[in-house]
Amino acid sequence: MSSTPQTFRRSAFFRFAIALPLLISSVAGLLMWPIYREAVEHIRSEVRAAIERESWDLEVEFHERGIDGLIAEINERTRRDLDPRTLYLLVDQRDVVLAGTLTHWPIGAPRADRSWINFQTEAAEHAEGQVFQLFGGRSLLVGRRSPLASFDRHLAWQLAWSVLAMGALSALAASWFTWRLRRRLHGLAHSAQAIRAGDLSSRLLISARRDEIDALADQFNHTFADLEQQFEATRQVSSHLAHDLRRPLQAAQIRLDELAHRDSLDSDARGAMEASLHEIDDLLGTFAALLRLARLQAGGFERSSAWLDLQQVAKDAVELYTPVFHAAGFALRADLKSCRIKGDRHLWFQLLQNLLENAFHHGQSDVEVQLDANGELFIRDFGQGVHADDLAHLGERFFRADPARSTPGVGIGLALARAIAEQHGASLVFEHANPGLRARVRWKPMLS
Amino acid sequence: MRILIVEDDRNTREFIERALKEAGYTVDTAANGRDGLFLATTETFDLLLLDRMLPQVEGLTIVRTLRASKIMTPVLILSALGDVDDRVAGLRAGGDDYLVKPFAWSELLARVEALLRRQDSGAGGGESTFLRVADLELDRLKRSVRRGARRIELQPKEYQLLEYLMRHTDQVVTRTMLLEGVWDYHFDPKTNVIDVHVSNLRHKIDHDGERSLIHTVRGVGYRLGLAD
Repeated sequence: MSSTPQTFRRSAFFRFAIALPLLISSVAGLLMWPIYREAVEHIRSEVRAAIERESWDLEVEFHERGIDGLIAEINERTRRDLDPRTLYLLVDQRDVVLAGTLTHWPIGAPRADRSWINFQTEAAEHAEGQVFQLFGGRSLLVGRRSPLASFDRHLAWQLAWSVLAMGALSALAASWFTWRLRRRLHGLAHSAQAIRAGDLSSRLLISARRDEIDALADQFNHTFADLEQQFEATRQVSSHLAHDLRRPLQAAQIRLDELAHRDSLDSDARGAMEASLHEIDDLLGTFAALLRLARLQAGGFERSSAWLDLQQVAKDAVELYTPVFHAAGFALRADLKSCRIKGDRHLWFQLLQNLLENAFHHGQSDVEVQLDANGELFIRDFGQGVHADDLAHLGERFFRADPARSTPGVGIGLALARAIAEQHGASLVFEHANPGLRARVRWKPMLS
Repeated sequence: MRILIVEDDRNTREFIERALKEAGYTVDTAANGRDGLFLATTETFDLLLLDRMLPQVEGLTIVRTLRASKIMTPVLILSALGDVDDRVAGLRAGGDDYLVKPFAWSELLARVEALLRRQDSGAGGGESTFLRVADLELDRLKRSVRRGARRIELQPKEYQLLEYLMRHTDQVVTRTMLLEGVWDYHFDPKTNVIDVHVSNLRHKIDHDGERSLIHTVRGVGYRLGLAD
């Protein structure tokens, strides 16, 4: 299977390998978000509780001893440095510092009574604080260095990394899993292709794991075994039929042939005999072609692994047929590029011969043969073409378009040509060429 | 000329026997593979006609056994199996020609004669580089053809066709033999394909007033030679 971006995007495995880590990351994110919120709230309420305890003490002091008592208490507390996280600041209406650990009122901080503020210390530490408005325009700030900001940053990173790591891990797992699955399916597709190509005895490989895929392969193998048996039975029946039906025909042919060679025969009798011989020949020929078709369709031919240049075979066929067309007053034109394929040259020659015969007899016109370097083969006539309804039926066994009923043949040549193309992993289609009919051999994209 | 027929089907065997006897050959027959192999190894024949599917010892086995014991009698394999791979298997086993059943009396005689002649010329020291029939001359080194004083220009396939006919001078060659020998493709040619080629060749070889050399043998094929 070629891994172009197109087919890659279409692959269910690819979609799975993308979707799984995305899903897992989202679920992890959803789970961690409340935890994160909870942790942040908890820290904030701890900090505020500590500030409230502190400010309660100071408020008591202020009520009992007035502003001087408050200043003394703040200085005392600052000096004793009981808790290094605690911050104090007392300023008068002109923002002159009366006491405290801060050098000035935080820039831009509001002064409304009992409002909570966030601010930065001189050392750029994050802090949270509560503002109190005292009589005489003085303002008190009780604050506390808060771990929240750094914690916030820290935790957010931690969580983000966890989510990313989960995503990456699940992406890895999904890739590995799909890669293995893909490889196994590839193996199965490969075996199936071999079977399709005619190697009916081939089976899908079953691993030692005995998992669901193996169970499925096992089921398929049973089906293949049944099919092979049926094919074998059909083949035997058809070869017996061939033998049994050919024998009496052959015997008749031999007798007639012998009689026709008697000198005592008058010319009328000899003519009649030769005509009968001819008819028997045709019948046996049709029979042989049918058997050949049956064998091709059953995949009975080992696909020849020899490399050949289709150009040479086409050249030979064109060379063989050019005088035939000339003799009838038509031209056979060819534009052939070199194209190497694996195949059987005799079969390809037969395909070309059948298509050329068809174009010659039913086209009754010039014919063009074209072979592209990628193996596309066109054989086009400039005749009447066929009715649109008939187009799809060309190449079916025994099908004959109405105008063709008067010409000799039983409708097996194109079927044989199609079977040969399919045997080689190509397809044969017919198209309107306006005017005329175009036969086209196309190569199916193959599993490598 | 002594010919051995190994064929299990009585009708076919007797048919071939009569055909060959009428054509003036001495004929021995065997109805199964074992007898056939015995005769072929103990007596001398000029040609063997072998059916492929024989009771007791299979046709291809007989050919292989003969070739392994250095008996090089030409072998014409007769078979109902007519596909390319069957033919290749037959020729690879050591057969000299392969004829698909059912075949016509004339096709059989033409091939028998061709094989016997080949045997003859083979004993005479290879193929000559110069072929001559009456006043028609073909020089294989120069790839040139003359008839009397007249030089004849031929297309490559026409040349090969003439060469094949001249190598089989005075023999009947069938259309199938021509397709095999000249084009190297193995199956019955359709309609008049070969006829058109021969007719074109004839136009170049046999001019008015000259004695015609390429003759049509009705219902069979062609013969190149002086006699009518």
